[in-house]
Amino acid sequence: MKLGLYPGCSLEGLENSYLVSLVKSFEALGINLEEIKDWNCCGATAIPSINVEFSYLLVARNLALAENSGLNIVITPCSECYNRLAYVNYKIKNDEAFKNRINNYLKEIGLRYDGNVEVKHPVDFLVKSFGIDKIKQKVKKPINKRVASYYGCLFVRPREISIESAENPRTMDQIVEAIGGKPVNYGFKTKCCGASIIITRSDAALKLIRNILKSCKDNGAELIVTSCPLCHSNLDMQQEIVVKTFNEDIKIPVLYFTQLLGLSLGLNEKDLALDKNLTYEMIKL
Amino acid sequence: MLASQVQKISGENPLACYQCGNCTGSCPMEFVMDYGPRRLIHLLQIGYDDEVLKSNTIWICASCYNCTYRCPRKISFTRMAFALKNIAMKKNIIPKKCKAFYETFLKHVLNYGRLNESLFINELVLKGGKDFSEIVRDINLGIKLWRKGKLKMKISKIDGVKDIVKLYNLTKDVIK
Repeated sequence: MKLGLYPGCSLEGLENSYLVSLVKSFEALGINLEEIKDWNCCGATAIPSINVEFSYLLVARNLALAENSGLNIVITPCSECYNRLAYVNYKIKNDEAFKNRINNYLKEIGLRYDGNVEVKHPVDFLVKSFGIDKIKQKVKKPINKRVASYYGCLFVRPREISIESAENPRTMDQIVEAIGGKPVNYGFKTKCCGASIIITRSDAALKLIRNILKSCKDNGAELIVTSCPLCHSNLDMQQEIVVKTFNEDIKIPVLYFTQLLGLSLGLNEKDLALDKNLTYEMIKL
Repeated sequence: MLASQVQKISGENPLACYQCGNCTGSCPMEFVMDYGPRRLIHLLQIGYDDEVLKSNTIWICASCYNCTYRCPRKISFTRMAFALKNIAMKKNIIPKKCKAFYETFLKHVLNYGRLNESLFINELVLKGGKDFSEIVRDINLGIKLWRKGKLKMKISKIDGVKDIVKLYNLTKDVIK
């Protein structure tokens, strides 16, 4: 079984620490990933807003490239990318007319996609394919902290791409438990952080971020873990602005789940690009 | 009729909605919208097309799919909003900040095949995608990101840019 990797633009850019910590912690678990060659932007929510049809093709090109290189599973860490790749993949696998339409376009650039690739988010892969017990066996430094897992939207919704209930997901909490942490129950696990609305309507997005941070704090969390670069940049990068705007003590360190996992596997902070987090100075382990 | 155009692009039928309001009850952005998702769908149903296209609702939708997840009629407002944005943009009905955001995003996809975030943010500011007060507010953040070495100046460009442009040209006139 060949495991592929679709990093996505954000993991190449501002949120590179997610990619670094994912690759390192997967290596520590004995999982190697092969990046899709010449992958392109998934279109995120921006391209479907401009042209729905074009957005399908951006995804389909990536899937075709993955299939051509014989990749069976494509690990897609960014929830936004995961959402787009998994949804278009679902449509291609379940709708013959749609598949033919897409392939007619792909023919123009010398590609074809037959639907032989599986798209998986790393949280899903670790819990459902790799196995929680195997993670437990590799833990060297248990994380003895109360951890709020923030799932956000696009990894759990819509139904076609979700591996569990979007009302109260548990998979990331299972990873937290496996590495010695105490999962925190709170009501904002899958409430939206505003994502790219932080750019076009920052006043509204800041309010959503504030509600999430406050709910985590109020329920006793010492750390937040995320599995999406947009969620992370909103909760981590924007945190100081949120605290200033609402003048409340809702400061809390925000890590990628791969960073916390890596720490528990004995990797050092530098290897996991922990110092790139803006809330890094607040982390006390 | 706008409703049928929406259905053609998105595959979602606005007329199938029975106005239960689960979508609006689930919408995290409703508090800043002209009309919540339920009312917007109602306007679509009764043919108030101008009101729909000129509402801020479609631009404020954060595409969180909460409405979609909970809809008992199994129709997706999120995907209707995508289609409505496609149509509104063709008619050039779009708020200034959104125009800067989407145009710059598309430019990156067509020029590089990827979004180069650091450059994207710079271009967005130059294009009027941020208010002056927001720029002032975010200066400290910019300095911090630079100090942390998070801003990347090297451009990432794929070999298949020509193919991306070709795919775009094949689909750009699908929406009229």
